[in-house]
Amino acid sequence: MKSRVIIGAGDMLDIASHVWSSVPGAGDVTRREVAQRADYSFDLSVFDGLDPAATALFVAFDERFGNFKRMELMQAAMERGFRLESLVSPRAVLGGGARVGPNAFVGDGAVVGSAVVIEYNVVVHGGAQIGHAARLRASAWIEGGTIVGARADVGAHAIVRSGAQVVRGVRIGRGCELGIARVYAEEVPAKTVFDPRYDEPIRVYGG
Amino acid sequence: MKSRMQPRHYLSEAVFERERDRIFRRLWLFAGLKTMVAEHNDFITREVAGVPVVIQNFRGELRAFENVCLHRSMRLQTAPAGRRPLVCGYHGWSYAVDGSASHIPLHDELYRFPAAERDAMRLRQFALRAVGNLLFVNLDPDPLPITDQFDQAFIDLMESSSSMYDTEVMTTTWHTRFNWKLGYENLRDGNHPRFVHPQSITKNVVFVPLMDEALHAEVTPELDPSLDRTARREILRRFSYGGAEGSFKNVVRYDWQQYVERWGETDAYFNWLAYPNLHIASSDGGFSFTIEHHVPVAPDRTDLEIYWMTARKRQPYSFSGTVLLSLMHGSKLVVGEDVQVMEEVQRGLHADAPTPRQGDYEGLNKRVERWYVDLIDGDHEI
Repeated sequence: MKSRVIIGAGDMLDIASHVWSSVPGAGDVTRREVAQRADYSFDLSVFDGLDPAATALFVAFDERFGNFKRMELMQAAMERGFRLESLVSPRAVLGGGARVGPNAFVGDGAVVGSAVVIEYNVVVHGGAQIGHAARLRASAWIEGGTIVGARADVGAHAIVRSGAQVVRGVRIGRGCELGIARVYAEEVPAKTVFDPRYDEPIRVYGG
Repeated sequence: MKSRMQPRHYLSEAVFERERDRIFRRLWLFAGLKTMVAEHNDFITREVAGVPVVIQNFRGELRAFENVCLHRSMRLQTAPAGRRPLVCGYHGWSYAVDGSASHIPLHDELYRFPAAERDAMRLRQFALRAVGNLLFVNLDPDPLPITDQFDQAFIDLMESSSSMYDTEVMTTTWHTRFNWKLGYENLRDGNHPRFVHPQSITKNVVFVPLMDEALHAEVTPELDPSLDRTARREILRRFSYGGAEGSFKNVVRYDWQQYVERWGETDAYFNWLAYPNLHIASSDGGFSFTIEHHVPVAPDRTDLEIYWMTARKRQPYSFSGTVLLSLMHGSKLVVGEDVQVMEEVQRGLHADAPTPRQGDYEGLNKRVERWYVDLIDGDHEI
């Protein structure tokens, strides 16, 4: 049996460690905290001494820098030959046909409907509700207390914060942040940010 | 010495209206970025001195029109920016590059305008100039030459730097509670950063207040009332300037900077101040740029439009939007500190508030103020 190791930092490292430790019959979980330098780069010596063939690995990091730092750590693991696990809390509810990708996380009390697609590196926090056949694209971050309606499509690296409600079938673009607790009933263009500190949405034009 | 500016200049509706007529409907004003209207049917809308304006791309030709349909006064374009023909959403009137109503659905059945009347119907067109990537509009039917407002060296500097802006632009608007003039006064006050920004920008940037004896001598006497328009415009031209204003304690580099073509090679904090209400900065020596546009809404209200662009990308990279968002949050902190101070200044103003006292270092503001007071309280025009 492979040894279970979580590499990460902060609250997400704590949360994922608690969840994985509570999976029945899975044995001990080793935590390794990754350090960041002044220029925000990771100290990747955190992988030293781990055997990819003998390790079941999970990367637990928060949504900072648009979820790109978590993805960077995940890519560093893959480049070293590690196979990344998906991590679903035994206290979450997963409907039939739901799929959960590598390094994706579903927390305590999350309710994930049938046929939902959760792509790699997505975090669905405890208490989130994801409707039937919704799609959560790679590296999205869904906080507790959100409702993602059936057949909604949440773009890669998007952040859906507590209190946001995405209406059935609505598409949320890549890199959006729904940071204001309200109903999102219309398509949100890529990289649009709703942040309560700002008077108006932050929008991006061109590319 | 006492400032020439009185509390009423920041509080009075009458002064605000006079500013609209004598400054904002006469000068060249920032109106957006050329890269945002690069393709056929791209448009930007905005309100300039109370007038709705649309800048529209007609097969590569940029035009600025009053954004009001000639039929029932509906706004022709309603979004802040986008890609859509210039067509009214109310009754479907379409407009052409010359501002004429090129198509009026059911004209012969319902409207039946005589040919002469229809031919004479044109959207009001405004003068539009591109300086590099920066678009300027002028509402005056007989606009002053842009070189009367900005000197050629400043135009060249704006053109050179703005031509390096990337096409990916992040923007938002803050609704602030201060008079627009407090914005430019703060930006021309080199002694404020050490007190207002000790926990943010001055941790790594040194700004030295200007002590210019020649400027002090120039701006201390009152303006000569016999100066003609040419001489007054010569004074106006000196309000706008740009260049390196701050030096770094430590040069910091970030990973994303390798993906962009830097403007220049000077490690310095660059500022461009374009009178009346445009501020551009590059806080990292040409790797990124921000535009702060102070749009007057009322005597005590200013919309602050913030834009962020990196320098032009060498190649697309996946996290470019996140870089812009980090920069945007950075200015939320720094400009937020300025806004907090300016809103407190505005709150302190009342009809009998004391006239401000100015030191010798405040020559840049004195230069603007004596011209402004002469314009607003006198009988001169730009």
